Amino acid sequence: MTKLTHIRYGSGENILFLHGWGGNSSSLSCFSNALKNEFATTCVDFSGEWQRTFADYVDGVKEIIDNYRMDNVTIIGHSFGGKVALALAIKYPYIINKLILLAPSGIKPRRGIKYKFKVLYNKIFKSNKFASSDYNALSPTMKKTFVDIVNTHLDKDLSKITTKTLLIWGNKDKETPIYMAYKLRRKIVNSRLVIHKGGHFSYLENYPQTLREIIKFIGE
Amino acid sequence: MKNIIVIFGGNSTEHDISVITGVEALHSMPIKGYNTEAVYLKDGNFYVGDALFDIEFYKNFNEKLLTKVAISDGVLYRVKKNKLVHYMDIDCALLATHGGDGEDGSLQGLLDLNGIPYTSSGTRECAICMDKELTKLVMRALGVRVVFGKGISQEFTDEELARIERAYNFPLVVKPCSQGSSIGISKVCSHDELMEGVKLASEFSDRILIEKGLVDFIEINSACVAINNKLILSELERPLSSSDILTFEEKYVGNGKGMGGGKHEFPAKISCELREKIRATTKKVYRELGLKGVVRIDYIVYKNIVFLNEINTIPGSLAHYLFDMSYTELLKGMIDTAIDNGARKKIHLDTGVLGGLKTIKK
Repeated sequence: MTKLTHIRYGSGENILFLHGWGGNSSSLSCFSNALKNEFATTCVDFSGEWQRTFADYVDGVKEIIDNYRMDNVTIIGHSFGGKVALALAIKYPYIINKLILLAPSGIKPRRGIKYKFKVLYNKIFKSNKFASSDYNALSPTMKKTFVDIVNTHLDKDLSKITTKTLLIWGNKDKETPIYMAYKLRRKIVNSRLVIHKGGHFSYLENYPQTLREIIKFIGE
Repeated sequence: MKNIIVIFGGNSTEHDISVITGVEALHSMPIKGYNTEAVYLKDGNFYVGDALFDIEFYKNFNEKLLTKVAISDGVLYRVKKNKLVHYMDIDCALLATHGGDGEDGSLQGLLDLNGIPYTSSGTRECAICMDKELTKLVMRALGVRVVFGKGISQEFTDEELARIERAYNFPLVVKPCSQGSSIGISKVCSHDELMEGVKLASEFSDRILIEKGLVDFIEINSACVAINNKLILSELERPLSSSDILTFEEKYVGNGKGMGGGKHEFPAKISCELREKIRATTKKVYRELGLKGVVRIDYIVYKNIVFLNEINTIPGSLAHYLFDMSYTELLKGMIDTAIDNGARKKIHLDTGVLGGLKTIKK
């Protein structure tokens, strides 16, 4: 498997940034730039055309963590990156100090009858008529990766997480609806939920408040 | 976990500059182990709120986004329907107020009464340094050279003015006594201009200072901070200006990068001897006046003679751009030192006078 690339700045306690699907290492730079004065920030880049499974991404990040001997790392993850962070917290709870999750995926979505019909339609006619825009934008190799990622759910392991967790969500999020936030809040013992106005990228829509929340949480 | 409030704003002509210093400091505050809250002083009210962290917010101030607070008993209270609700404890206040009630000792007095340690000099020192006439008098007593000058009250007599004109000769510089920055200052070359300058200066202050105007001088700034009781002197800075007096516009307006972005020569290219002389003077003034926190002292060098011009007890951008350390390090040092030194001690001696009072029975 090809190694994940990353950008590292500063020195001090470690903070790891995991961006969302379709982003790159600079997607969360608005936060890493604000924190690099006092912390060692590492922005992982998930982009690239390789076929991987979800577990490969998790292992790739773990490799980076081991490489720099970050034994007490704080992870900030958005969407897909948040899902990787959750998987890490389940698998390696002892290396993680705090989790900051910005609308992470990983919860099995509730599907209505309409969705089931669409899936059936796609399967019978082998069409992409109802496939998501994220999926359609991908090359054939990445489509396989995408399918594996979307079909990995972390629901049943969530209660194993004891790490101190801050959840930040937008109230009108369509990709990861707000019920996922409530579920995470319930399942993770040591968690706190902050809801902002906005969609899946509410951290950009409410950048100053989000930065404040993050700084307060890290400083505690 | 230390609870820190950063106070800025205030009723002063330098209000906007203070907002820049305050917001800049808020974004450079140490994170680990410090809980920072912004406290904005406007029209005599204190406000808190996350919106204060955003510089755009001040362009169109909206009170609804903020919460009114009050400081009492060393605790920050939220004012809710005329009742006080506990908001947070205060371990230290970082002062980023310039001029007016934030730098003249008033705010420092409030914090003293509340027993809150703060990062600037105390009431007495602030009051002295804020007043240009008092600064001159105290500096003369300390044996530090200052430019010749005399203060007059608003009810001056013509004779008084004539005497000053004769003693110093034109050009003269007219300044309001109790204003920071460069507002209300004018350089005058004739009697009529002098009258005009005095009129302008009296708009800003009760007392007016008339100084000998110097030509062909250079300005040198020197900053100093005490961290863990160790004095750290900065390199010297030479602000560059097209006219002889740095106008308000030249000093602040026209660059959005705080005050470090202004035109200056750093480190200043002056002789080693002069450099040592200025730094020694800064050290002496800092120690003998009992100053605290970051202080920037502005000098005028005229024919190789060093004159002390002004002492800023809370300089713009906290003069962080002059020090050989990061802003975060500087803030951390200032805060920790202030907390270590503690609040001003209250001396309580029971004299027993009240207990000895005899009630007179009718």
